[in-house]
Amino acid sequence: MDVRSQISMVFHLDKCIGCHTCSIACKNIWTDRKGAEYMWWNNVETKPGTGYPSKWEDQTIYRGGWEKNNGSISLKGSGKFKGLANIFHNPYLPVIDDYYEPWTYKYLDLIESPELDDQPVARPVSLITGKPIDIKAGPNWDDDLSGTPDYARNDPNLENLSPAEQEAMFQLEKMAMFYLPRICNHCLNPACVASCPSGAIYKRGEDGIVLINQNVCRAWRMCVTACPYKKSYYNWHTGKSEKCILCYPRLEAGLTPACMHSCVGRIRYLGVMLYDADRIHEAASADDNHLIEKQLDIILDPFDEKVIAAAKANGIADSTLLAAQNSPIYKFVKEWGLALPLHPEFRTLPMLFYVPPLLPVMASLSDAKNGAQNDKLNPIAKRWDDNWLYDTSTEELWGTIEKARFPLQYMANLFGAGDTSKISPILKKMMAVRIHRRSVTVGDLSAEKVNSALTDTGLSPEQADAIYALTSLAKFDERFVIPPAHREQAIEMLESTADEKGSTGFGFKERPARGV
Amino acid sequence: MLYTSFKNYNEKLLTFTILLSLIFNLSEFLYPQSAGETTFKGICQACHTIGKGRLVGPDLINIQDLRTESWLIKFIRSSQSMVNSGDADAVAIFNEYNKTIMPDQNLSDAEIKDVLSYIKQQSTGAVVTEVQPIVLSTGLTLEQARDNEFTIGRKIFSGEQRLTNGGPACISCHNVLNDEVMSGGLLALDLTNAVTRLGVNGVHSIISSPPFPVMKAAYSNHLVTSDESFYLTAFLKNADFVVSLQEPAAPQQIFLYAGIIGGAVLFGVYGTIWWNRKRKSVNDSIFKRQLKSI
Repeated sequence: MDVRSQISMVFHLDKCIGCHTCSIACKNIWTDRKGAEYMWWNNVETKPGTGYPSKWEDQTIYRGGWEKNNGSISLKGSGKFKGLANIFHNPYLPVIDDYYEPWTYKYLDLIESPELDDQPVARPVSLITGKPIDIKAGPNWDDDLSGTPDYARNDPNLENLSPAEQEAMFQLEKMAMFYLPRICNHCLNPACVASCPSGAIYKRGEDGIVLINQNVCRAWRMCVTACPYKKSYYNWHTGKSEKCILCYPRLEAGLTPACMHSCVGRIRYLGVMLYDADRIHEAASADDNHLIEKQLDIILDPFDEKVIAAAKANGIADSTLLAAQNSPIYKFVKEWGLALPLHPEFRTLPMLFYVPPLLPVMASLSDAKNGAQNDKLNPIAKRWDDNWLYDTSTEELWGTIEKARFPLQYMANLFGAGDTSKISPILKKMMAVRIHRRSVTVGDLSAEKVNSALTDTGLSPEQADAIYALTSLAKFDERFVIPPAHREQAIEMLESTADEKGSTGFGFKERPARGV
Repeated sequence: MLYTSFKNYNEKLLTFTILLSLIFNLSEFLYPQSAGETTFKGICQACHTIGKGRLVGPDLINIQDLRTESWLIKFIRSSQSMVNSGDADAVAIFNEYNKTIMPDQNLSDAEIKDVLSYIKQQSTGAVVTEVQPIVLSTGLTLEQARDNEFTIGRKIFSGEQRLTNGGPACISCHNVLNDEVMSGGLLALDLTNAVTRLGVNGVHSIISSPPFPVMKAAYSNHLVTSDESFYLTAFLKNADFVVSLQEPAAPQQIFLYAGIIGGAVLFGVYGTIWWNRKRKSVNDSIFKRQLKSI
């Protein structure tokens, strides 16, 4: 057992309102530079939609992530030999039009305009060429265009859905959508690290943050291809690749990453998880239907004496262990089993987990005979020939989930490697918590019904209350449990700090004239 | 001290320069050559003899008795313009010598007169109708040349075997239609039927001392040895003979067609193998539909 610690995250999608405050916070701090304008280390996309870059989930286009062969795994697009053969010609890279051409407006034209008959106009200019452009797309064009056929219906996650199911998703008045905020997953088995020909990318030992060394990067861009989440970006100005750094300078100071700090919906949670590094290969090369279980298996119980002993032997600080025990991530992912990794089938073992959204599946469409109602109408009135009813009742406990307006299969394609049995228990648990809390606060449900809801999902009333508390009431320190960074120890792994002792810091070379 | 040594050095240099110029000028005194002789040996000799029979062009012995001086000057300046203007004598000569064009010579009247006087001076002996046979240093005559000699000639022609004095290979400017030689340059005349046109002696003579300005410039400092010109003549004679028996394949066109077909096949194969490669933005079709103001 090789115990290591990893800063891990949970995004609660039920709470995301799609305000993009996280994206803006990140952009203002990190990517508001020449060459980085098009990058969104944090982006929020609308699902169903093609995302950013367009169709990033379709690995037949971009060849990201790992693929299983002969019981082991290899990189889909690059890797040792494939990477060498394609090192000067890598056609699977996203082009700028797959992201979008960043632009700004000529605001000075508004301010400095002479008096004219018409209003002055600020034309959009490209941030790449500096010339006026026609805006073609943006980083969340799917949302801005309200799910046009071009974007929503080209979502790669619609793959296993029957044509009837797909069609049902886009019927007016039945349409549903949710937001998917994405940052670098800081994977346990990162494809970007494996693909880098220069060895510039590394996973930090003490907290598992994946970083690109800007002094070593040689612009091969293999990481851009290899990352299945397309979270490594090439800066065309500096000629280096860049990615989300999980605001490590903030984390080291005990602050939360900017995107999480600014999150309006408070959807983001951050904490430490302990994992067994020896079993990463085993977990990453599991069968498709066991991928999630295997990944959750290598996450260790921070209360287990053996784990604690092994962690200490590996040099993990007591403060980090304490943080792991209080980690909200451990609760969501392991204790309650509410959160799943995004696209586990890419086999990178992402350490950012998502609580799937319940809202679009709350109501279902049930068959109804609207004929009788229509007969009462005036002959010249508009007649509705639809035979369905938008049903929000809780009469039936779990029927609404199975007959969801938003097909379970779609969620399963996103979070369950296509397996719906991974999604429905989570949605049932979330329903059970709601039913329980409704009985507590409103009290209009029978105790029998509430109990059957909780026992069906295996939750105790205390657990349901805890889930409710961490979901809805949690304060800053409960959502973010950041261990002290112990940089003084981490730096000693790389450098001999005694060499520098006495040669830096404050002090007076000469005594001041006034005397000391 | 410094001044004297400098002075000594200057004196040495002066002595050396005088000595050097003496040596060069001495050769002029020892081997006097008239201007006419120089011109004749440099230019005319490749195609003409004086009393030694016809080569490419006629034997010029006693030419001063046959034609007037003004006619000769005009003809030497530009034989073709005379042929084209319909001068009966000029046309007759042109036809008699297989319509081989005599190159125009940029010579002054005085220079031409010098040449003519040199010819007159040399026109003493009797006319020899038999041309001297072309012989290899081993004594082998051109008629006795067989495959072995043809092969050596071919190698010299194609540059597989370098010319002894470092001249460029014939193939860089000339082409010969022959199955054993790849297609050559198109800068100068095609030599497939050179022997038919110029005769064996003419070809040999042109190789030995080229009259054409470019060829002359190329070989004047890299003379073709007499054995080499024997081999080349033998090869050209054989190539001329072979081509009359069977039309050889035309390698230039084979290359062209093979290139076009091969290229199409190659791109077809690449296109098939990598058909699924990402070639454009995934949003290309969407962007193409958009209205553009710029």
